[in-house]
Amino acid sequence: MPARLPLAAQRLVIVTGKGGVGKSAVTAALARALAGAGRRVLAVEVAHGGLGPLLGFDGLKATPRLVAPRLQAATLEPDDALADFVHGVFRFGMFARRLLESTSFQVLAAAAPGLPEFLVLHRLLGWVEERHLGRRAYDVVLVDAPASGHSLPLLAAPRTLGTFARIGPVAQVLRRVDELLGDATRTLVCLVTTPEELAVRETIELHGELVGRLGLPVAPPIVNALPPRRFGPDDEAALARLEGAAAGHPWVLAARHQVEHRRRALAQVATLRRALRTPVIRLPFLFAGPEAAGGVARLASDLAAAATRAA
Amino acid sequence: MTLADLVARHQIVISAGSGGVGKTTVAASLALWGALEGRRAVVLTIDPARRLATSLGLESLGSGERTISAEVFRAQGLAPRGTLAAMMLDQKGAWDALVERHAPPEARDRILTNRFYQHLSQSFAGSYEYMAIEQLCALAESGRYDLIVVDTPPTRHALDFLEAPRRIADFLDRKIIKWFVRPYFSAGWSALRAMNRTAGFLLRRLEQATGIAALAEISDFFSSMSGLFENFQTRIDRAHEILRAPGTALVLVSSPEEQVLGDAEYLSSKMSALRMPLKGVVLNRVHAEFRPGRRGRDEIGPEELEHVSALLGQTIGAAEAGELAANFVDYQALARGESLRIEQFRGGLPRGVPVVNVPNFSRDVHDLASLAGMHTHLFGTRAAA
Repeated sequence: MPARLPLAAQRLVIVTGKGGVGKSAVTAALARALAGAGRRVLAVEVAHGGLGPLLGFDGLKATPRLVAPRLQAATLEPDDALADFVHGVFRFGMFARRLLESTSFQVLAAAAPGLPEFLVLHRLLGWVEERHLGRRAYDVVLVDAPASGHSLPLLAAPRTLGTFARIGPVAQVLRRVDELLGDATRTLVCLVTTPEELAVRETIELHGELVGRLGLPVAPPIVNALPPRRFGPDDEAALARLEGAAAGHPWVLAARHQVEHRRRALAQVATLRRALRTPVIRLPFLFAGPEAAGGVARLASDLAAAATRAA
Repeated sequence: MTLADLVARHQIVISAGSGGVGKTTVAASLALWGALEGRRAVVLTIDPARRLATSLGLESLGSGERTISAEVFRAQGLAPRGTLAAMMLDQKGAWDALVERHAPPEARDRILTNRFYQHLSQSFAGSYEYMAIEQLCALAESGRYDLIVVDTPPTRHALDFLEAPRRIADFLDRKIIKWFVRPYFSAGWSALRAMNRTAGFLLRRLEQATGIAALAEISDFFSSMSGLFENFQTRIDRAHEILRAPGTALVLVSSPEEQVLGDAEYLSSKMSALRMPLKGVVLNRVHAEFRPGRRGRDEIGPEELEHVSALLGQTIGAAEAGELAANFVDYQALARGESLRIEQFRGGLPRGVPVVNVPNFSRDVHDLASLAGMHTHLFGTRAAA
């Protein structure tokens, strides 16, 4: 039974996973799927540059811009977020500038537990709550988050920084962020993995942390780049017959590669399902890569199907 | 120069690259080659897949170096002329060890229980990388090994590893430390104002305005640690020296996917800028293209489909033959795309840097025998054992 992606009225969708599993491609596909379903989407990448080209738009900026109907995109640099925040605290621009220029402050900002992450969340919260002419600026803010090693500190920031800031404006923002992140009707965290040992292991660990320790609403994992079934339900038997008839032929070697690749991938999917006790969402391996024409659209249609599937 | 020459001529080989490209496997295979060739080799790994860790004798973190026994090698059909040890990096443990080694006894507990220290030792950007280098220095200075292979941490920008000494040095800049330490512990805020009126005022305003009450704790951390910084500076200089030594080789590991190869290109250009030039490249998990030599071209013609269908006619149906052809076309497209990207990537590399391709194996590489199996691709031959 294929899993359902529980996306209804969520306002904030955070996509994360181990480096190199295709987070940006999945974020781009989700953005297209949601915009295709009529929602006004803001897709945000945090401090790296892979999302723009996948949305067919090179050079995303800090200010959101329209890249497709109902779909805006932006990039979020933690340094800019720091400047925004300091300018917000100090109403006099001169103070803010001097502070930002001081090396000591930069070191403090980089080292303060959870502060850089807080600033990113602060900016995201701003977009979620932004209104134009009495109506929401975006129906959903979709985040291509950093790799899991850095996503965990991001999502744990309300707790980490919370122990240092109990009163004052930071504490207030933290409470609002914490409420938003923990609210399953408004937030969804999507974990992306490939069907490979290390990625699956990291996904299981991250899932445990996010659900067990932080109590966040996490979707069934998205397994990206699953080799498709090619030779009928009984691949192995078909291949054995082929190898009997034409061993060493390039077509047969390519078929062997495919069948082995799929067998190993399915074993990893089984490990993941057993560990998390949940079905998974599967996206196909794209031979020409997600960057090729139609790649993101293909993933988007599979994700749209998973989002509308009956529970 | 070949990769074999490169390993033979260097004492330290650093395997760098973005996450998920098989750096750990390549590092382990290089170290095993050294051991088979008669060297005293050690591999410092960061986050090995479980079965690889098990086959290297690493069941748990922070267990120090483990030498792989002759019996284990024999069971895998290998007879090394040298030795192979493996070690897994434990970041938190390494920080604690550093504090215990260098901090004055009376400050030790205060440091270890400081919340800021606990945060810093676990998540400060660069600390993980720094600890890997710290460990590398310790291994290099021990004199127990003549080949040290280091697997770098799984950061998105592997550059963090190489820049770690500089970043830690910036962080621990003495002026900054004084700036934090003196105001709270020598004379309070008034001294700070005298020293740096504007910045101190602003920082205090920021503390009030934001409600982040971490400054005192951070300051306490620095004052407790102040005895350590002298030692740190020496360690950092030493790390720089080791990373830039002529006996150290940076080997870039990448896979042929578009984005990964893009990261590798960036990393290679940055390495030159940091005066730590790239000395070798391993392209891992490459899909080899099938080249039909007889026909001299790569397209699959309808007559070839007919030919194979006829050949396989008795065993499989036409639908399966069609599926087989489609699969082959997809595979070739993948392999062709990879080889074009690899060609372009090689064009941008400095001259004389050896580049080897390791095919995408149909089985997982997790035991010593399969690590040795990679040698054919890495070195063009099996080790002379």
